[in-house]
Amino acid sequence: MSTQAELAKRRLFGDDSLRASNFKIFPGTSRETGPQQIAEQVNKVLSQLEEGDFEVVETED
Amino acid sequence: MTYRQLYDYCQGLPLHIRRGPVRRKVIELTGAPITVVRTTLDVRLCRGMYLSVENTTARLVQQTGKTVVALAREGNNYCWERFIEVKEYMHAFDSVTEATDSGNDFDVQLRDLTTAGTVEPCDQMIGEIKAFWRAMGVLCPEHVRQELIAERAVRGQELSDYAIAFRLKIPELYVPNLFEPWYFENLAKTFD
Repeated sequence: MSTQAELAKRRLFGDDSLRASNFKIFPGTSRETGPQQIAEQVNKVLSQLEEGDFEVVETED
Repeated sequence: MTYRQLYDYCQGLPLHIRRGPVRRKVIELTGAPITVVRTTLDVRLCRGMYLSVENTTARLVQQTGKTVVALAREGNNYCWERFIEVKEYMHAFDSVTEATDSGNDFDVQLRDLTTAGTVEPCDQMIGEIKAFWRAMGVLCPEHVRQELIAERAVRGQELSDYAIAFRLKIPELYVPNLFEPWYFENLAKTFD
């Protein structure tokens, strides 16, 4: 298993982690995507969420 | 709380079904607030994420709360973003076995996402499939679907997939699913 996936697993489910009770992914548009690339996206988003680097949206429509 | 309660609620809403009422009803039914955020997700690789966590001391939870739906800042048009957001809400109804709550579950989910159709789906992917049908059931009330079926029987492809997508504000890609003979059977399997 790739380093990115191992890192994502540690952050989500490891000791002293987020203790995720559920985590799901909506696949992207590319059919050539591998586990490593998806895990990289997971780690990027987790970092952004931790750092507050996101925009909260409450779209009504 | 069950998905069926959300489904029944949405049957009485006017078109197009809006995200706000769906979000509020999911939160009411589950008792769990959901924060929706836009991030720099690359939509070629991943269009959205649903994350629910238990560690209330984690920095992430202090930023977003325990349950977060992450969308992409760029790359999802209006209809796609609506569908992705609502589909991610549906994971609030995942069963314990369908939830991805361990490293092993994460591995098999990644495997199934990148080898679509070549392996027997794991429980987590079954949850993903159910979330898809549940989102369809929310965004297209059954009486509207029956009206579309009747209208297409008369007008044929004059009533195009694009026109239906425009009416429902869902991705055109998924419109043919509304006309599958097993559509309601698939949806009804998710009512529990």
